[in-house]
Amino acid sequence: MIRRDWRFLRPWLKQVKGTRWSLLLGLLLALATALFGIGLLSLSGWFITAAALYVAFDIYSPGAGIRFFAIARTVSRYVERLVNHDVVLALQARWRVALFKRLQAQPLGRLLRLRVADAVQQLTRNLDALDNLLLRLLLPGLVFTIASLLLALFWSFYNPVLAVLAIGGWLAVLLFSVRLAATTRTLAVQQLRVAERLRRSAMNTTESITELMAWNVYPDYEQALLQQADRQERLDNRQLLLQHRCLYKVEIFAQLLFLLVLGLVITEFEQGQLMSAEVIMLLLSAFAWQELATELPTQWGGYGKTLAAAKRLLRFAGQNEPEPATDAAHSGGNKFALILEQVRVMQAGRMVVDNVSAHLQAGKVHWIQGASGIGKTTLAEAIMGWRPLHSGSVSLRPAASTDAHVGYLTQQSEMFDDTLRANLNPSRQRLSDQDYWQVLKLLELDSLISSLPLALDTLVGSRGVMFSGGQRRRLALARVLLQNRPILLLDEPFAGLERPLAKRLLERLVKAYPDKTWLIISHIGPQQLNSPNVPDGERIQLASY
Amino acid sequence: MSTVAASAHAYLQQLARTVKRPIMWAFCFGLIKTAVIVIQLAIVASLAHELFVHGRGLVSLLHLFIWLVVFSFARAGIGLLQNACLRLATQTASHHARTRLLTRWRRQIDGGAQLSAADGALQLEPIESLKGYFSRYLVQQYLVFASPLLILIVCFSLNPVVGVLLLLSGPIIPLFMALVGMGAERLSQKHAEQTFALSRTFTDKLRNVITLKLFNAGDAALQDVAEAGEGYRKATLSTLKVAFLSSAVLEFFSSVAIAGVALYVGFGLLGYIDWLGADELTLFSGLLVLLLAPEYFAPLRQFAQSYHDRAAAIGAATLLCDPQQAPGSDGQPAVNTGLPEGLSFRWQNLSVILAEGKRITYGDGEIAKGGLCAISGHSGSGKTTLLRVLLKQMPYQGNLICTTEMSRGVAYFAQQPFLIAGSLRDNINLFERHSDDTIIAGLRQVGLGYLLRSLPEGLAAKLGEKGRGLSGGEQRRIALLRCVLSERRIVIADEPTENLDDVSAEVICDCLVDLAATGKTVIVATHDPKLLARATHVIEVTA
Repeated sequence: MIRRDWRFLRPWLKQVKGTRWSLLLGLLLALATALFGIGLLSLSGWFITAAALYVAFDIYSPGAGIRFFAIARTVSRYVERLVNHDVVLALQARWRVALFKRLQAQPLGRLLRLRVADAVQQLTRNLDALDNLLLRLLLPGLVFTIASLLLALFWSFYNPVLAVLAIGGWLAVLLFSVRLAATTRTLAVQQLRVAERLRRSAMNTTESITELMAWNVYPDYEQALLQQADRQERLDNRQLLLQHRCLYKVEIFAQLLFLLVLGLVITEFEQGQLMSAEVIMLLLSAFAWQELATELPTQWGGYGKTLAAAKRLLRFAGQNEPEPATDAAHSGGNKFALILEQVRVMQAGRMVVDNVSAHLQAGKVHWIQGASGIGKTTLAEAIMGWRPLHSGSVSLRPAASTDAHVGYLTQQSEMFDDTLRANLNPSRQRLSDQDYWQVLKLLELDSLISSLPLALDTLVGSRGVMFSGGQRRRLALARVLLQNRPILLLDEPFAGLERPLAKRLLERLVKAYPDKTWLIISHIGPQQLNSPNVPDGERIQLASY
Repeated sequence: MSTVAASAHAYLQQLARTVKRPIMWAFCFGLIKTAVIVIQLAIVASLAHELFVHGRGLVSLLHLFIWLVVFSFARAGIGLLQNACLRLATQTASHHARTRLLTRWRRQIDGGAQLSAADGALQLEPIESLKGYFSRYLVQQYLVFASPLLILIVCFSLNPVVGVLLLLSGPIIPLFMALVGMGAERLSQKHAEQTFALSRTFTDKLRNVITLKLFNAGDAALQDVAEAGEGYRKATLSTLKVAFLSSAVLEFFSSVAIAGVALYVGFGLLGYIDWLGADELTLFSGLLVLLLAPEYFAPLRQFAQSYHDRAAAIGAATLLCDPQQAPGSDGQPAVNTGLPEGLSFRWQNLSVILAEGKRITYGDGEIAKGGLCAISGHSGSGKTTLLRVLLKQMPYQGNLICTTEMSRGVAYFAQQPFLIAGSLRDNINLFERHSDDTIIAGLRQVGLGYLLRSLPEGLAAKLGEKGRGLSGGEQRRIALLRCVLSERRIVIADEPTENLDDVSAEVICDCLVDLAATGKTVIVATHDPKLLARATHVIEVTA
């Protein structure tokens, strides 16, 4: 079990490396805070008892000690919190980068199936849960352990049996907490599963509530939702119950330990082996230890959730360590032909693309046509190698990888919340301003963009809200053109554009880049564009049945 | 802003009222626990006093020792009981919150509002965020006054100076609260802004991960994410420095109070101080006040820790509390009073006020029984709104009469049909059950015979979440099939052919015409000329 958990936690804990010193400092400060707390109470008890009973003793050093412990505890606590939060924040930043790296190492076909909005939410939630790893699991556990052992050492100067009691108490509390953590492990998996199911049903219900109410079935769905919610509540309640029970056991045990220490030190006192002030000091240090011990169950009750979050993040971003990206170099100016041989693609158990063959030559414009929802995009993704082919093959001539030689305009004009320049050149290849303007001019975007005060450095806003759908489409197309690959696979490049403009653009682009292989996926064909004057290539017509 | 905050507070108070009893019990147990602790500590102190000052033997103090055992274990037991009450309170409160949310959705729809998937997510995180309020904050807000007061009384009776010392830090309690509160508020405000900035970068990259990969832009994006994280860390840390100060002040006072009590008692016992009862101090009273000092501050510390539960709950409550009441209808549509035979609906002087305050007025009209009635008009003219009025999902002014057939329910054909991750059969049978034979015949009728043939598992074939694996046209034809198979006499469809390929649009058009021919009343809102051409009756809506 420990080894399996370790496998899920290791990738995250590994990131601690760079912050090792801050982490050590944080641990030391947390430990100091705990020890100063114990010291303050014990020394105060010693001082009072001594003051009441002893006739002559040095009163100034205990007085100074008490003042020191009081101030030092406050200061170390404050600094400790800052240092540890700093470490967590730094770790979180690293986790985000690591997560992103893993995600990028995933095959595109898998990324394609992610539902982005859900994925983002899930990631943020799980990353937050991972915070607990350091602040609520690791640190309290270590501080409690070290403080207990130091206390045992301190006690052993008075009586070895006391040390044995301290170690026994430490072991027992640790055992209770570890058992709690182990139980929450399985519970958290259930909790997450039920919560996800509830989320899905609740979201589906509100999304279709008009339909559900029209059909008079909403009350049934209300009941079903409440039942699911109850199941979740029961699980949450159970987790709390376990946590509270563990807390109870720890408290009982801590009280027992205190009583044993009490009995032992009083016996020692009666036998004359301990002084009265020492008795009180030992008792009060046992009291202060209790406070540390009872904190642990509350903290470790969250173990299951943290582990589940770590597991989910790994599953989400891929179990495999990211490999260094292979540099996809290509020779820009060459001509390449794209050859499809008896391509068949299945999707969700259905044959979406059935037996498509084509020889797509450079310098010509080829079309994939068909009604919406018929599998055009599926075929494009199969060409890109994002989807497995059921049979047949896709190849380039001369032979080369599609990855590095096909520029692909996806159906959505995705925009980064960044400058125009960053959007047009996401990989930050070396481009002169002239390169940008040349392409923008071809797409009739130059006057619009030069009229913006910041021109290429304009921020496009979230999802490119600055621009209309048609403008975004052309910007996305400009991005593909600037990538300068020999084969251009364009999925609905003219969406949101008026047809005369689309025709004009196509003619101008093909003229500007005569060596490229153009493959256009569109529900409209050249005839609807009023037969643009471009070298005509193949037409692949997809039919549904 | 202030009205939202006010209704959020009211919402929390209403929920708190439902858990009055368990919270009261939890409070009682909390108070008893404090009392038990006081007694336990008093026994420890008197044991010490008897042993060291009076020099009595352990055997003669056995009764004290037994009482100590009893009270030590009682302390843990009462904690367990208190926690049980708090669990009950939390469970009850979140159940109420969920039920209220469901009722709120119903009311929102009745009031003409629209809901999205994001509303559904309110059942998750916001309700979770409420829990800390009920499981920690609520009872702590009472205990933070009561428990220290109890200890203060004991201390005063033991030694007035110690009492005054603790009391002096007493008036600081509200100050503490203000400090902690301000710190927490500032923290959450600033934090929200920074989280937003960070998540913007992070979400943006995540959303576009495919494009990033397609353009080999991973490294550049990684750099951005790392930089944003670093900026977030620096900014957050500077706010934390201030926010943690407030709790440091609290720590400081509690440490200084313990030290102050210890020094005062110590010097008093030594005879260096002899004013105001210092000369009356004994080991018993001295030790007891020392032991009580940390307990005096413990509720405060817990309160400070639970303060962010309150902030989180208020944040959640602003999402969960009832939004502004929508203007209500003049009344429910009158059923069949004075409606001539052969009509399904008739309205006069009908008007609707939209959320933005815009009013749509409809010309008087009626819809006959049987036949295909099309409601047409350009986008934004109020076609869909009229459908919603007919569905009783929109408040209106004026006079609307509807047929008794409405009470048996409507077969509603949605643009984005409700599909579950289940079998094809389950999806068709979602609202009404039909035999497999009927379904298979129906599938052919809506032109999905090919779909059934292409699925090796037939009707048992699993559909993905939200109908994944089916094209938009196929999804809509499944929804149409539900209407075709239903016995309900009224079929209402909203833009049934919009955004569809020609084949699907044609099949849907044919089916609606066929349905109308069987004597059902089919009402469609549409601007599709092909569908309009085949309607038996067209109602033109002009804004």
